[in-house]
Amino acid sequence: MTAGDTMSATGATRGNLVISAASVAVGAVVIPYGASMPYIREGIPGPGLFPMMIGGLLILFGALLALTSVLAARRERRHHAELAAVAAGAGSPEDDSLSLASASVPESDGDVPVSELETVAVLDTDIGSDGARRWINGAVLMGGIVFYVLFAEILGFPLTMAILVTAIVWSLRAKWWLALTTGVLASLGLWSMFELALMVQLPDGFIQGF
Amino acid sequence: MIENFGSALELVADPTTILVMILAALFGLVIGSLPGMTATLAAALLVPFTFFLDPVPAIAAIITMSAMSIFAGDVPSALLRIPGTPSSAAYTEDAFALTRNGKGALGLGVSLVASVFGGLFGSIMLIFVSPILGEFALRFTSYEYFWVAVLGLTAAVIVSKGAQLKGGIALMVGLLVSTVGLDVTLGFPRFTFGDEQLYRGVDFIAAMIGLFGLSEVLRAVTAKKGESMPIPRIEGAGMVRPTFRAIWRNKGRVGSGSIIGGVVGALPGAGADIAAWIAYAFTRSTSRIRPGKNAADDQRIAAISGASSANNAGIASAYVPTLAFGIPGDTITAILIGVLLVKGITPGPDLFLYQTDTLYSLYIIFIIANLLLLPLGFLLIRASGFVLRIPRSVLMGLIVSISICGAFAINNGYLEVGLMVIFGVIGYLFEKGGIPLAPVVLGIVLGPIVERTFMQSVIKTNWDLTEFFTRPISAVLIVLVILAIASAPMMGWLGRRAERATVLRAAQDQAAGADDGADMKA
Repeated sequence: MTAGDTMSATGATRGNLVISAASVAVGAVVIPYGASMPYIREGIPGPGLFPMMIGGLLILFGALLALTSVLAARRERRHHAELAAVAAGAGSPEDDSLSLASASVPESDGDVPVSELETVAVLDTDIGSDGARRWINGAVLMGGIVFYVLFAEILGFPLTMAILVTAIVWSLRAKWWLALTTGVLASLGLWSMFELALMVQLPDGFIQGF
Repeated sequence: MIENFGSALELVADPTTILVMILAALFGLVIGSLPGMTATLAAALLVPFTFFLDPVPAIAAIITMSAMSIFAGDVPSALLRIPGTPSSAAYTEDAFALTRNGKGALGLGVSLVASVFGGLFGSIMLIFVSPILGEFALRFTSYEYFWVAVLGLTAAVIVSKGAQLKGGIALMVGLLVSTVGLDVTLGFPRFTFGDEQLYRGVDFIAAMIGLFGLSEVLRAVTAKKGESMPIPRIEGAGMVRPTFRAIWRNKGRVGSGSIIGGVVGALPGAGADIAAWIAYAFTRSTSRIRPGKNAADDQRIAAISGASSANNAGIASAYVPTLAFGIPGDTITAILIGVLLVKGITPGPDLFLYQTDTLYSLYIIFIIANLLLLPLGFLLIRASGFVLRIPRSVLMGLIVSISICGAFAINNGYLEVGLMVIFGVIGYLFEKGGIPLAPVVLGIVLGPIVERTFMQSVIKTNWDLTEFFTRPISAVLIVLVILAIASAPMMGWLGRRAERATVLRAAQDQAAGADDGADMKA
């Protein structure tokens, strides 16, 4: 547990350093851009004032974030060292007991254990994948939106949207008929809602006259 | 007052408004009960539709949806041990334990009725407190509005518990986004990169849909493979009577929870989830249930009735600063302010002076939404197993399609779709880096207010900045801002220190215990 925690803590520190670098970089770009904007009068800044202030605060917060996360990482290391020293003296304590005592009502003898719970179905939250599949799913989503923007005017809203939704649902390991049904129904439902009820002109494409 | 009330009632009793409320209620119940889908996501997806509605039904949709989804968040807590919204996190363990003991329906029923009472209490508080603050706000000039907006921005950063600096960065990103377009002083185009469409600025709705809708989908489709969760059976039939009996036994808990929720929710920056945690801790520490048969379950029901009434009370009272000052209390009220501004309604004292019809209809909507929660909530508890079985993949497809249509419909153009995608990626990256999204929203909403009031004030006085500090009401607001800024890092630091000390002490105790054990054996 200790090793894993330290690992994730260094990961978090590294992430924070990336964020602070990005924040400082954006600030450094925004300030000169703000300064280049016209002044209301000589010496009185106008449009550029707020961007410059925001840029300055971005640099400040970014620098403080880098500083505090380095300091926090050091404190955390020392804390772990102390814990390890205590633990070494007592053999190895069980991991669970190290977590902060929660305020919820403690388990009593009368409670039914989780394993005896009567279940009726399985929740389909698991649409995640492993390995390269995750990147492919992300690409299907982003590529799908680009496809929609490029082709909606040519193919028309109903067809393009149906293809987009079917592709996304199918990429998340749904059965093909479920993906296709979702795509067609979502597309027709949104078409009728926006085009007929809300009077928004969606792209017609080659299917005109409806 | 009475005639205002009458015309407000007419506005609310309109068939469109009623229909919109029922649809928004069902939408909120479904989204809220799905783990990982927040009330903010539901609000972001709802906004494109409210765009085409009159102000009153638009407000009705958002309020009804948020009241429903906060309760619905308790459903996955009880059935799956996953809070559906952050506000349910405080009593998730207790609700799940009740389900294991075959009292899942009772636990959810108590949580529902407590939510209804809490919500009604919060609404009443809203009705009585916001006019008082609104009257106070009548004396505000651009200086005070500047400070109130700064207070709202500060609150946005404080809400980002434990990550205030990241919250500050997120806020600056939001403010930076709000500067895109023609500026208020000279009409100079900023950050438009020569694109004339960007002169009108980054559309708030497109940004919301991207930040909360598309980013959620991006996160889900690139998630690692997890475990499937079994859904336990709960017996929904015949639970109404035991529920009300349990509520009657815990009426004190519901009362104290409602008061805590009402007060905490009204503070800028402290939302329903913080209210629920405080009410939970209060109920647990004052529990007087004697040990005995079923004592654990009774304690759990008491805790749920306290915390569950608090989060719904907080939802309503979060509208107090929103209505009185135009300063949002949380992300959903920020979205509502965005919607109101699009509709040409400026939240704040003007609402109390010139738009009393809208104001009173808002009050009535709150009462109706909470009353509507009672029957619809019982239906949801009966149908919970079914709702939880909606395939995730289908939902993701639907969210993407609604997001695209919503963004497109804003201006019938692809610029907003592009902006939505950009904000979707920003939201995804922020989430990965642990940067809170709420300050971005508040920055986008409050940025123009801060800049306009500041520029008006300095131009009026020819850059005499002392006016910002010497006016009496300004001084009070400045003290509040400083207190807020100072309290945040201190609380965070104290909290982390206490946590470390507790863990260390637990380890030491255990070490001592282990030593004793070793001595005994020897």
